[in-house]
Formats: sequence, structure tokens, C-alpha cells
Amino acid sequence: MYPAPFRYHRPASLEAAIGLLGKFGDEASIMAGGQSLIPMMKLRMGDACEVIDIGRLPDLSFVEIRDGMLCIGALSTHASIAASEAAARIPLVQEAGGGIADRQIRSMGTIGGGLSVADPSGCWPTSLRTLKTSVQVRGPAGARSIAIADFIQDSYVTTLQPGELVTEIRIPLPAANTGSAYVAFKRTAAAYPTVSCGMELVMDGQTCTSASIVLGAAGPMAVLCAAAEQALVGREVTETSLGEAAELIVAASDPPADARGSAAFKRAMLKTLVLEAGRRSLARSRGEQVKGGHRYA
Amino acid sequence: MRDATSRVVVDVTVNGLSYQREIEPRLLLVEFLREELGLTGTHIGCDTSYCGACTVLLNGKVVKSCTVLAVQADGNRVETVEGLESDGKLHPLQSTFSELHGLQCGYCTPGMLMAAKSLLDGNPSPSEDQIRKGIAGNTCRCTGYVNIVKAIDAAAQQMREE
Amino acid sequence: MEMKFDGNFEVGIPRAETFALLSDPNKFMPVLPMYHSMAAKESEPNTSIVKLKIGIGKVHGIATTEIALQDNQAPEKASYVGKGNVMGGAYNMVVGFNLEDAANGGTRINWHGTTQIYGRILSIAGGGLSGIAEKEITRVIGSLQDALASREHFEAVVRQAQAAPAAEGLIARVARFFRELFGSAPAPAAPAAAADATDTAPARTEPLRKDPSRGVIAPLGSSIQVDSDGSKQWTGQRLRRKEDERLVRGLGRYVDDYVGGHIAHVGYVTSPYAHAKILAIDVSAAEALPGVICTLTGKQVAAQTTAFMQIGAEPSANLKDYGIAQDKVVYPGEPVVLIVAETARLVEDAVQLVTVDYEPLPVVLKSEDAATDAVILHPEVGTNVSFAGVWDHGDVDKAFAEAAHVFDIGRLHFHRFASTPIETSGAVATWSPRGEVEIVCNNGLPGVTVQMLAAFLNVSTEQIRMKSEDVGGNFGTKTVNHTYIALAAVASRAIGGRTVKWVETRTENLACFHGGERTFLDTKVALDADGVITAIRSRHLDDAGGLLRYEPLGCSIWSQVYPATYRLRNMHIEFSQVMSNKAPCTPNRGYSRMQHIWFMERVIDICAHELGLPADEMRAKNYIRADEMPYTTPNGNIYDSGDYGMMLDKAKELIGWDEWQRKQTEARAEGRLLGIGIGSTVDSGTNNFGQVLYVNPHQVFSGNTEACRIKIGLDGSIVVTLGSSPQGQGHETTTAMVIADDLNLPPDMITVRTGFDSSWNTYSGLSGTIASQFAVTGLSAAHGAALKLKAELLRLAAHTLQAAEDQLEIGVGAMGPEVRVVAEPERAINFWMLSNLANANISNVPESLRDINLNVMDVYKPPFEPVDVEKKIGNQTLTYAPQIHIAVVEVDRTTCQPKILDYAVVDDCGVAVNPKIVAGQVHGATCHGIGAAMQEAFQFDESGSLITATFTDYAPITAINMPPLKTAATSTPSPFSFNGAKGCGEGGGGPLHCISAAVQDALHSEGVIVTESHNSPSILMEALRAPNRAQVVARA
Repeated sequence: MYPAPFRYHRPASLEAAIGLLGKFGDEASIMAGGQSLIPMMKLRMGDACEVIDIGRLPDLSFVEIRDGMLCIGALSTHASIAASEAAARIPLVQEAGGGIADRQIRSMGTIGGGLSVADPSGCWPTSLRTLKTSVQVRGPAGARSIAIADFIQDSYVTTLQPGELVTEIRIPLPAANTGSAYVAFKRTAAAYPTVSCGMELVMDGQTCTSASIVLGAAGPMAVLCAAAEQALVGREVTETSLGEAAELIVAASDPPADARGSAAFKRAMLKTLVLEAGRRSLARSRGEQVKGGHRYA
Repeated sequence: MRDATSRVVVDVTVNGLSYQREIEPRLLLVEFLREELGLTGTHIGCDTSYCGACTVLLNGKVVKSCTVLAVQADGNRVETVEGLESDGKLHPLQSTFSELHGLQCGYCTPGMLMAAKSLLDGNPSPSEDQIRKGIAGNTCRCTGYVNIVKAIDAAAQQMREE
Repeated sequence: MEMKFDGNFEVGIPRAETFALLSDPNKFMPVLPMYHSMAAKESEPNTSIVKLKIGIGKVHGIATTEIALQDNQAPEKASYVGKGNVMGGAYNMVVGFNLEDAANGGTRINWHGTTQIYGRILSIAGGGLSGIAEKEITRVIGSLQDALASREHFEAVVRQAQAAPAAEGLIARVARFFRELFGSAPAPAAPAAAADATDTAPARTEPLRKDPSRGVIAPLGSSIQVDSDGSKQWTGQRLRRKEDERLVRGLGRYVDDYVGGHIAHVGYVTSPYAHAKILAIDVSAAEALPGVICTLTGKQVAAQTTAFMQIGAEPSANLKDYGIAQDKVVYPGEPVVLIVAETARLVEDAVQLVTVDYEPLPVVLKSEDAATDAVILHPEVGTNVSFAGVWDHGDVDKAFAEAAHVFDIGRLHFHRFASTPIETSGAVATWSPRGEVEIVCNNGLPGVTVQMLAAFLNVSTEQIRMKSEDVGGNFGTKTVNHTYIALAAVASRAIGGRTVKWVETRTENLACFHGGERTFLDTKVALDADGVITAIRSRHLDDAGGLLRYEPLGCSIWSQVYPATYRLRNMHIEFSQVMSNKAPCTPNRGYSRMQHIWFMERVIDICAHELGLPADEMRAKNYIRADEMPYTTPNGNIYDSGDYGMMLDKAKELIGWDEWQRKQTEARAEGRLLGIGIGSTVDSGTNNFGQVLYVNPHQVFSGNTEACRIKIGLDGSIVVTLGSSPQGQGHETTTAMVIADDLNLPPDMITVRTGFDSSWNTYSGLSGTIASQFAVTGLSAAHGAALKLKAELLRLAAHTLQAAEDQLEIGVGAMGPEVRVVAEPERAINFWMLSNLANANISNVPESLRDINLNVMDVYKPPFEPVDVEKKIGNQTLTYAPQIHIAVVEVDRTTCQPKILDYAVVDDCGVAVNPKIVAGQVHGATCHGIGAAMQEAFQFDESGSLITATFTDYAPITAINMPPLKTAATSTPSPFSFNGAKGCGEGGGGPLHCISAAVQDALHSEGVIVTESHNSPSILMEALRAPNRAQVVARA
């Protein structure tokens, strides 16, 4: 299968890219690594007329600590994030990058692309939603910063305005005694997650002072549940309290039944993933080295 | 390369040789290799970046050439199965795949070899688990992966000893 | 997928006006947020063609919808009926509204809608599609409500929408592409020339390949032994394969590797519907696309061909199959329009420009429903039942009357999956001016396919040169790609004989090549007091899918393994095959027999559990015993050899049976669901095509044949050609080994040409690589040819060397292969000289030796007798290779995810010609079975759309899903093959049997018996939610 004809543009600068985006409007498709766009084009599911290849734009591929934040250039590949020492400061980020699809896809796919596609089963939308991530975008009107909660508006829909593109992801470095994890259930590496869960716990001794839990592929958008987080905050994190949190958030989810599994199975798997993400987060909050990785069929 | 027009000219170095072609921008890297250069060792097995039969190295990084446009390889370096053998000497992976019967129909083999090469380039002593994860993006329908895993392990050992 | 919506809202415009606005598409449609453009349909005044821009986020496409106003009752109600295409799929919708006067002088609009969506978009969008559609509807209603707020506002909205320049659609875009390509010059007159220019690369300056010595493949080094046992025989050695020399270098030559030159490409517009009538086809836009050479509809194909031969008897023989739909489509993915264009890319562009008007028909998906004939797929057949027959052997009534235990077992179901070779099907076809067609393809049964093609194309079999080279896997599925190969030949003929290439996409492959599905009903089992099964009575429904391709032959071959590995003598199976609106069933590794053995293994395990007998004891009691071999089954099959009890012991030892039993006890004490399951299976190889008479007594096949030719070249080289079409089984290597043993030469000196080529004249009417047969059929032919050649060599050498034949031997001398006098090795004549005497320097040979050509062929004909069609008794296969599999599976209590904790398999393939290759076959078959049991299943929605339409959705098994295998081999030589070998490629589906058994062992305490062959966590969760053990009814 092959893409339909399109015109190819490779702007030399961010400004030029923004200019092209403005010029072509609806007709434009941004390609970073192409790992989401090219398969859709091959299946002729899209209508891309003007492909703007931003893959080589300078200065957008970095993973570094700056001003107390983990800063990731939009063109950083999943593989480079997984291998980054800076990203290791937030295990969830490293785990998300290292668990996307397979090695080949991780070589080419970028965080900016993965986030902008806003696929409800995508790893970046779910994992980054767990943290206080901000998305830096640039457009004809200049730069702005969007909180991750506002960035994704719906399945496959972001708040990016015409002519805008993502330039950087910023995540505040975690306080001491914080642990995070992202774990998905996937049938195979190259298949999309059936369901996934991101979690971050901040501990004070035995007591949880802050919790963030997000479910992926569990509805049209990332699923959050304040009650579930409250089930952990101010309490000891145990199998029991995690189980309660899992019950609450899974009750708030609405995973669709499809070829990946029935809704009942997905709910059950989500509960298991919440527990697993909780165990890993707790251990990491204590400075323990915990092996990451997804569950596979 | 020229500015955006209906056709674009690309320069790609494949297995050490430089090629220039004028192509449609929609041409996939795998088609470029097969149709423009006649390097048919890289195969197409699916439509959705799943099977990895088309795996090649792009600037040393392992990619699925069915999910890379040829224009993305413009000015870059591509390595394919045809370039594995050097000076008439097979790559250790080619030898161990044959010795240990890590291939049957041979269709997934070029992609599997390139994925394995990139794995060993980055990790000379992978565990069995790491080998399995390293080829998780490559589907083989003949071998049950049993002898592929053994062959990669054996090649790693051979390369460490060399 | 079907979705229903309804709601109501009020607007400020009076009812009559509201009605006028809503019932005029020209006014109403532009208000929609996704409005793109609209035109009236010329042929139908009541109908408009509306283009809507529909999308999911950034991914969007133009949906072309044909809508007509119906049930127009002004000013109260009306409805729009529409149908359209978007993103490779199709949809139908009915949107109606009822109007009521509202209090404020406005109108209350009650609306309701139903839409059905078909096609691969369902698979790719996954389960999220209904949520997305719901939001689209909300958006539509919102904007309608907004627009209808007042008349002025409404008119403004309409004006605005109509004035906006419509975004460029695909046709315009493609046309623009070519306009730009050729500058401002008018479009070239000949479309072909236009696209030529598009895809012609600048002159090549570099060599095609980097390797300057292209064409000369250096050997990999010594191919001799890795683990030699010191024997002088090549047979039995673990030789490295000859094939690998090219394959590890990427120098294999597969169908798709025919590139460049002047090749045109073939592709298809396929049906998004599972069942629909074709009302109209419009190819004009596609044909207008520069680079499109021609299109062919089903009717156009039928006008120049003869429908494919049907294997079945009447009425299924009345089925008219042209490989492309005629008046209706019967499964999603069925070809509807064939397109020939200059490049594969242009073919896909053209596919998007073809419009097909369908009328959806009710779909039949379940076999039981198909059997009722409430909806009939093929009117010319008149029934969905393609075959029905009864297998009745022994005295079933008596056995039930005397039984100590009788169990009734409810519905069992074996699911649809496929082994999906990584290389899809393909063909390259060219007609010569002499009216002959050359076809390069990857078909699995070329001997039969040539006959199928000849009849279809209205040519002689001798006008077809059929060829295959390297084939990238098959597993049976490519046995029936003949319809597509034939259509490639039709396409070439349609464009004047120019070479065309068709290579199936993976998405097409998943839509069109499925392994068979079977349902087992009304099963009754009789057992004696010891738990020995004495009789089975059951009703089986096989699902052939929408068309019969090599079916209903599958209806007979399950009976090759009628009693599976068991001794029972009394069986009554009412067997029918039905057609349903799913892809036509193809042979698939274990074809037909694994479904039946899975049934038998379910029976064994269900009875064992109900009787409280351990699975191993139950089997040991019921197995056919080694001392009974060769064993004749109740229907006349002769099981050649094997010791199932010993193999079970070996498998138990391999897996650590006792240790797992102990762990299972511990696990159960902890509340864990851990099961241990055995799967016993036999792989029946070298089939007797005579069994086709069971489904059609008028057929003309019987027995089996395979051909091998060996010639000594003019320079003394030894060249072998075969009738087989190998797909990874190492025929080049094993053939060379067998001939090497016969001629006392090293295998390296024997060149075996790969693949099938009818121009070599080395094939029989049944040649091919199917049904676990090469080790017997192909190698017997090689052995036969080697003996013939050897006889000729010795006769000729005896004359030349003036020695008696029995004093001569073949060996390798200083001048290559030679014949020499044993006692005086320097008295020798090499093969070059001998070939010279036979073929060139013939005057020096006496008349009596001039029949020697050193170019001999042998056709192996196994010793089959005709079958008894009435009683369905006869030997259906020559060899039976048993395998015993044991799996330990734990089912997670929360997620129901099954996990294989340990796996062992013991096989008996008789004498292994190359044990390395045999082990590889066992590994591969085991992986297919595990994939099918654990994660691979074709799934459909209620409208018959395939929701596992891509590899990403179907998710075939990968290295991280495969458990480590513990393997061991035993060997009981077959008395029926010259070398003791048995066919072993298909494997018999062992993993499906043992995983079902293990899952049942894990869940039986929860009241669950396993009735599905697929063990996805979703299915197991449902089973645990609704325990079904009550389905098994014990009767005294």
C-alpha cells in the first residue's frame, strides 16, 4: 500500500515551517518521524496534500534538565528519550518512551508527533497527562505554553491552532520521595496498547501526599478520577488502598470493546495495571531500582 | 534537494555507494531500494509497520523502510542486507542463521538480520529476553523464533570472541 | 457496525418553512459543518450526490454520499436515505425527522437516525469509532439547530457555505499532480505514455547491486554436517541448507522481486460489504486518470473466461466463480473491479476513483444460521450447504446401548485464523505472440493450478508456462490463490500481452485468506466402565466462507484422522459444510484435520474431567497401541507406525510432569488457576486424492503423484528439477542428500533447481507442496530418478570401461564425479565423458546403448487403492506422524490472561532425512498453534466487517509471545516410505489441543469446560462469568 500523491516540503527553519503551515491550512500535514502519518497515508485514511517534513528542523531534538524541569525537544525520538540519563530522572517518561511499539518505530517516532496525534491509546498522551507537563508550541502568533490537560481536547484532537506546532515538552522535576510508572498491556510490541496506566506518587514516609493516576485507551480521552487519587492521599500506599483507587478510577473509565478485547477484560486489566503502576511508583519513591516494561500477551 | 515540486531529487548512500534519483515524494524507502536500485533483498510484508520484513539501518538506526519516505533518507546513509557481507566474508549473523537453521522461507530473514545487527551493535551481550525484545518488531512465520534467538546469541558470542 | 441516534430540538422558524428547508437538500446540506460540495445525480432526479469532509482529528477524507428524500409528507415528516464511501469503507444511513408546532411559533424537530458502517475503517479505528461518530452527530445537530434559529440566519449560513471554495478533492488533486508534472502542456493523448514518464527513473549509472560478482553466489563454506554421527549416509545428517547461500544474502528471488522493465500493475477495488447486490459500477474517473491502462469488471472478465472448475457435486457444482464478483458480493474484500495501471501506486489512486453502487443484503455469519438457508448466498446453487454426508462406521447404537457412561456435550467451536505467510500472494503474467502465457507466481499446488487456469483461460495446459522460484512461506494458504493468478493472466491479455504484476497487500491477504472454522453440535460419547471411549455420535458444520475454493475437499480430509489417536471403532458423524459471508476458507497448516482432532481431544478431556480421570491416564487407556501398528481405522485408514504411549511418557518426562503436578496442587491451595494439558495429534501426510470422491463421486482424481528429473549436463554437472514448489522446507537440501546417498556423491555436487517450472517438464498432475508430503512423494521421486540414472550410468560405463556393472561404483575422482571399477579405481570415466557419449559423441556408442540419455524422470505413485465411496472406507493417507504436546497454563484470576508457564513437544516424523529441517518444521507448526490458541483470531462485527483487518489489529505472534519450547524427537520408521520418513510439515495443531486442555484443567474447578479453540482473556473471562459445565450432561 502506498500513499496518495502529495507535495513535499522541507522547511529549513521553524519559522519557515510555521509559514507553510499557515499557507496550506487544512491541506497541510506535519511529518516529524512519520510513524503515525505514513501508515495512515498508506491506508489512504487521510487526505494529506501538502506534507511538511519538520524532521530535520534544527534544535528540536534534545533531552535535558533546565530550570528544574525535564525539557524534551519535540523531535526527540522515543529511543533517544528512553536512553537519556536526563529522562531517567522521571522513570515514567523513560518507561513510556522505551515501551512504544518496537525498536524500529522508536528510532523514528518523536514525542512531539506522538503527542500531537492524540491517539487515546497512544503512550505519550496518557503518560504525560500523569505529570504536570506543559506543551510549548509555536505558531504565527509566537510561542505559548499549554498545560497538558488543555492540550488534548478529544480523541485525535488537540488545541493546536492553524499554523501551530509543538516545539518542546516540559515536565517539572519531581520532588524527593516521588515515584512514577507507566505500564501498558499490549498483545505484541507493534500493536497499540490494549489499555495502559500512568501513575505518580509523592510520599512522606509511609504517607502519600499526592497521587496522580491516569488511564489510557480506557475511553475517548485519558481517564482521571479525583476520588481515586483521594483514596491514596493522606494514606499509606498498600495493596488495599491501591485496590480501592483502582476500583474507583476503573469505574470512571469507559473502555470500548473491540478486537483488542472486551470491555470487561479491559476493566480487569486496568485494575491490574493500576496495582502494578502503584507498586512500581511506591518502590521508586523509596529510591529502589525497579524494572520497567509492559505486559504482553 | 530541490524545492518542493511534484518530483524531487534525492541523494542516498546505500551500502557505501551513492545514488541520485528523481522520484515522487510519496515513494517509500523500501520501494526506492527495490524499484529504483534493484536491491530486492529488503522485502514488504505488511501495510502497517508491523512485520519488520523491510527493516534496514538509516544512519545506523534500525527502521522499517516501509514507514520511511525515500525523501527522509535524502542525504543519509542506508544499510541493507546486501551490504552485510564484506570483502567476501559473511557477517557472523548470516553464518549463524544458516548454521542453526534460523531461517526457512527466507522472506523475513533480511529484516531479521538487520534488526539483529542493530541489536548487537548496541548490546554485544544480550540476554535471551533482550534478544526477544530486540526482534519484537519482526514477524517470522516459519521458525517459531526458536532458532533465530539461538542464532543471534551464537553470533553475539562469535563477535565477542573476534 | 450499526449505530442508532435520536433526539429533538426546537427552532424559531414555522413548521411549513422548516419542512421546506429540511426537505431541500440544496438548502439543508450546506448547513452541515462537514459540507464540501453537492451535485444532482443525473440519472435519478430525486437523488443528490453530497460530498462531506469527514475525519478523525487530523486524519480526514471526503465522504461521497448519495442521498434521496423518501417518505416525504409535508409538512410533517420526511427521511433521507443515503449511502456512501469513505476511507476505504462504506456506510448507509437513514435520517428522518418529524415536525411539530412549537409554542413560540417555531417548530419542534424530532429526529432519528440509523447508520451502518462497513470496511477496514472499523478495524483501524477500533472500538472508539462509535464515540467519535456520536460526537459528529452532535456537531451536526448543533449546527443545524444554530442555523435554523431564524430564517435570515439560515439563509446567511447557506450563502456562506456555498460561496466557500470547496477544498480540492482527490480527483482534482491527482489531475493537478499530472498537470504540474507536464507543465502547461495539454495532457498527453496516451495515458500510458503519461505515466511512463512519471515513473521512469533517470538512466541508471550504477550497477544494480553492489556485489560486482552478482550472479555468482559464493558458497557459505562447507555445507557438510554440524553434528555428523560418523555415518556414511547423508540421510540423517544435520546439514546446513543449500538454500541459505542466497537467502541470508537477500538474494532470494520472490515474485515481487520482478521489478523494473516494462511491468504494468494489477490491483482491485474490493467490496466493503459482506453481502450486497452490485447495482452499478462507474469506472470513468479511474479510466480517465493518466497512467491507468484499463479496468475490468466481473462481467467483462466472465465474457472472456470460463468459470473455475468446482470440486463439489451438484448443486454446489453450479456455483459460478470467476475470481471477481458478478452480480453480488458475498464476503468483505471480494474483488469487484480489476485495475491495470503503470505503477502499483497508480493502481491504488485509481481504486479510489471507482464508484460501486451496492444494495446491502442480510448477512449470514454463523454456521448454524447458514445451514437454515434463510438467506442464500448463491441463487445458482440454491442452498448454502456445499456438502453433506454421513460417516458411519462400526455399530454405534449397540455401543451406546452397552455403555457404562454416556455424556452429552454442548456446542464446541473451532475459530478462524490464518498462518499469514510474510510474503503475500503474487503473480507476474505475460502472453507471448504465440498465444502462450508465462506465469511466475507463488502458488502451492501448481500441478493442479495449471489445470484450473487452462480451463478458466480457455487455453491448453500446454500453453501455460507456470513457474515459482523462492516462496516466502505458504502454510497452505497459497494453494488457492489461483483465482488471482488467473486474473493477472486475464489482465495481461487485456493489454496486449504486456507483463503485469499483481502482489497482494497484507490488508487484502487478511481479508481473503482464512483458515477454516468448524462447529461441533449434539455430541454424544459412550464409554465403558474403565473410561474407554467406545462410540461417538456428533454433527459437524464446517464453514467454507463465501466461495468454494478447493472446497468442499476439506470436507473429506478430516476423515484421514477419523478416530484421532484413539482406538474407538464406532463413530457416526453427520458432516456438512456451509457457505457464509466470510472470506473463502483456504487450506491452512493442519487443514481440516486439526479441527477434527481438536474436537476429539475436547471429547477426551471433557470425559476425563467428568469421570475424574487424570488426562494422561485417560489417554493411555484410549490410545492406539504400538503393537497394533500398522493400525486400520474404522474407515480404512492405515496408521503406519508410532508409539503414542511411549511418546506421552517422554513428553511428561520432558516437561517434568510430577513436579508440575506438585506445583499445581500448591497453586490450587493458593487459589491460583493453573492447568496442565496434553494434546495428542497425528499429522497425516501424502494424501490420496481419491478421497475427493467422498464429496463428489464424479471427480477424476485418485492417489497422488510427484515428479523428479535428474540430468547429467554436457559438462558432467548433475542437475535436478522437481515438481514441488517449496516455501522454506529445504527441498534443495534434502533432495540433494537423498540423491547423494543413491549416487555416492557429496550433496554439494548436486544442483537442485528451486521451485516449479512447467517448462522443465518435471511435474505431474498433482505436483506441489501441500499436505505434509514432500518427504515421501518428492524424495521418493528423487530416489526413483536417482536409481534410474544410476542404472544408465553403470550400463554406459560398463561398456566404456569393459567391466561388469556389478564391479562398478560411482564416486568422486580427480576429474569430478565418475564411474569406476571398484577393484581398480584408476579405471574410471567421469560424468562429463559419459554425458558426452550419451548426448554428443554418440557414434562411439553401440546401438544397444543409444536409449541412454542421462536425463531421467521418475513420477512417484504411492500404493493407494480406490476408496469405497458408499461406505467411505479407504486409505486416505500414507504416513501418520504423531506429536504429543504438553502445556502448563496459568489463568490470572483478575484479568483472565492465560500464560504458558512451560511447554514440551515430542514428535515422531519417522526417519528424519535432515533432523535440523524436521525440528524447524515442528517449531514452526508449534508457534502457529500457540499463536492461534492465544492471540490470533479473525473477528467480525455483526454486519460482517472484519475488525482484524491489518497486522496491527490481527497481531500475529512474535518472539516475545513465544514461550521457550522443550522438544524431543522419537523415530518409528514408516514401513510405507522407501526411507522410513513421514510427512511432518503441518504438525496437526497440537498447541490448540493442549492449550485448550490446560485451560480447562485450570478452570474446571470453577465450573468451566473449554468449548472455544481461541483462549483470549476476553473469552476466558466470559467463560468464568458464565460457567458452562452444565452443558455436559451425564446419562447413566
